[in-house]
Amino acid sequence: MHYTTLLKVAWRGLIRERRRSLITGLAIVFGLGLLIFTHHLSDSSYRHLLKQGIAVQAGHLVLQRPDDPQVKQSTRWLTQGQSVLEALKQGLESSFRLSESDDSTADQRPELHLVARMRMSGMLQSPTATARVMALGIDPISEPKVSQWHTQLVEAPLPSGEEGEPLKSAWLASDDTQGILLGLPLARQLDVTVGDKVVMTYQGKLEVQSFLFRVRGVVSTGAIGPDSMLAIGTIKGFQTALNEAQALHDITFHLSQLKALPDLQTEVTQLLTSAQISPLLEDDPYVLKDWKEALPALYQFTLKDRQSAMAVFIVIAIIIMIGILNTITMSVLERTRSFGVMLAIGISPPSVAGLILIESCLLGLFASIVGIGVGALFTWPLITYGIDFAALVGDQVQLEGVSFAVRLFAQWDWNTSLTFALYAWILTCCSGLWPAWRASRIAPTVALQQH
Amino acid sequence: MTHPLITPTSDPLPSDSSDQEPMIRVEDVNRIYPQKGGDVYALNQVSLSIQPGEFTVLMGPSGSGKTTLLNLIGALDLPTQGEVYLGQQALTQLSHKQRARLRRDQIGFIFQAYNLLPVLSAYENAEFVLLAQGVNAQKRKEEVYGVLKAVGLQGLEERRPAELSGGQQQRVAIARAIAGAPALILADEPTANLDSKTGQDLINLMKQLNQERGLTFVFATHDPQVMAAAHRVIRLVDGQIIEDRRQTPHQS
Repeated sequence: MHYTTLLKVAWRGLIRERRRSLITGLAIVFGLGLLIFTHHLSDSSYRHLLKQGIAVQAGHLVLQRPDDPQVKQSTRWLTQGQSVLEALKQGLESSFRLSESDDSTADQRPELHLVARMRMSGMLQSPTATARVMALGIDPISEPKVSQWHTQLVEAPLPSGEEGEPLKSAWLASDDTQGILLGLPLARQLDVTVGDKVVMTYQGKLEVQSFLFRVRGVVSTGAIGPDSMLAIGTIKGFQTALNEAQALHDITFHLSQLKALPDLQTEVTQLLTSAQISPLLEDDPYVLKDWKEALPALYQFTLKDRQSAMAVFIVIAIIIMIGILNTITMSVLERTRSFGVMLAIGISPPSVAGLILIESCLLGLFASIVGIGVGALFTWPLITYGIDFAALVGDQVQLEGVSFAVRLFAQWDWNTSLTFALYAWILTCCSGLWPAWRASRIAPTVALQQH
Repeated sequence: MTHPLITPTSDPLPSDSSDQEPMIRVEDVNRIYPQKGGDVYALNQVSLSIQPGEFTVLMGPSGSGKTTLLNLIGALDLPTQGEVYLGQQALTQLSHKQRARLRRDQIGFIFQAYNLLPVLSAYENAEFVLLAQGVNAQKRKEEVYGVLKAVGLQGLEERRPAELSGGQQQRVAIARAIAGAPALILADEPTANLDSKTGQDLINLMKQLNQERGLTFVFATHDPQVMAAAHRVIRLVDGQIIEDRRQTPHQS
């Protein structure tokens, strides 16, 4: 039988046996929809986790001093960091669109943000309390392009005993050497508010030092753990406190497209050994790490979790395949007599097998298309309203200092959804193989006896 | 081995076809089904020949081997021993595919339970064999409308089997059987599920097709109405032919 004839007959069979087609089709549709939803749910958490980790911790690439037990962590800075940063900006401008450039849509260069940071750990004292802090020195102009702290400013609670309206927090100014932002739980612990003074005691290059800061505002990321140790000052303030006018702990590179990372890595490596920059790093050992090296625990976690998610996907796929195989086999068994008639009146066994395969593939094709729609429908609330993990975990999930936001939003991923649909279609076609073979082996004389 | 009760063929009905090459030759055929308690001989040393244009009835009690013989003649099954010829073609020499093609192009089947494809309309059921034969759309349309008209189903072309009466369904089955222009029609108890009036109408229809188109009909049946219409009645008992007689068919 010609394949167009088989196609025609298969199509008639499918649309006229609606109940059977619907049962089989719905198994595929909901299985695929579920897979797509599950993928987007887990993928949104990975994306968020990585985005947060990359934004707050390391960038896609980070230049810093290597780990060295002989040197205290807080003093592992690049002495000429500020000059290295400026030289890198100049060197990278030809290949990347830096944040300082005009935002031109015609510009095909990958977008790149270079962000400098300083880190200090120490004790922060108020008149009434002392707390351990992990302080971060930032550039208030470039930092908002990669992280969210500027959007997480909240009204500062008044110290205990004082009455009145809470005070408004303000973002830091670049030249504000004394300004500091505190995490909300930290501000409460120190019992300070906007305008109050706090003193930070930290390890300087040679000795323990202290520096006076003034609270400019309070930040709440929603993660109580990290917020209770969070203090954010300006790079200039930290450089003043450390008496190191050029020092930077990290120069982080944030790309808009991850695929540009290898090119960036190559170019930065070349620049660091160039005549312009290498003298600036002469006295400081340095390492250039990509985000996987800089955030190994995060990377391993996402990798392992993705693998376990894949295992779950495979199990779901197998269950769906068994379901499809079962319904297709049942539909063949139900029609044993019909196939016996076809064979009796002279339709060849390969044609009967082809008919069932075409039916399976047609059904799989339509069900896969509808399945994408159902997957999108399931995922739509996740994209629009997000999922509130606070209701599940009560607080943020943390890993390597990176925290999930309490509300996660999914991002629709056409590539994966289409890939899943393709797999579902192939699985359905394959599910038709055995029933097709079986139907083609039916003895017409036996099949015709069946009622 | 000939059964002692066999009646020699004497009546050269329906015409002088006895001079022609037989359409069907069954030679010393055994069909044995192995069973736990011993082999069962569904057919035992059966030999017969049927001329083109004959209207032949295989009769006998249940289990006598009628359907088995019909299946062997229709290339649906193969004998354990012996040979079945359709024209010059020995059926045991054919592959599965060749037998399927032979059934498609040369044999029409009518079954007791109609065995229409439930998802297809009357038109599509009749068209099915033509589709398999690769007949072009225009010729298919002409042929299908022609056979449906011939079996009296004009106006019911779009109905699915579930929307037709038993008699109408069997007419569709007849239309399907003759649509591919076969030379031979095999009918297994075609009137068993029908009332006698409907059965008689269908017998008349098949008789008419036999006379007008020269189709050879072989029936397996218990129905006296079918037997009365036949040129030849072959009686089987326990897998053996015990009677083979020619007769003048009754006119209804």
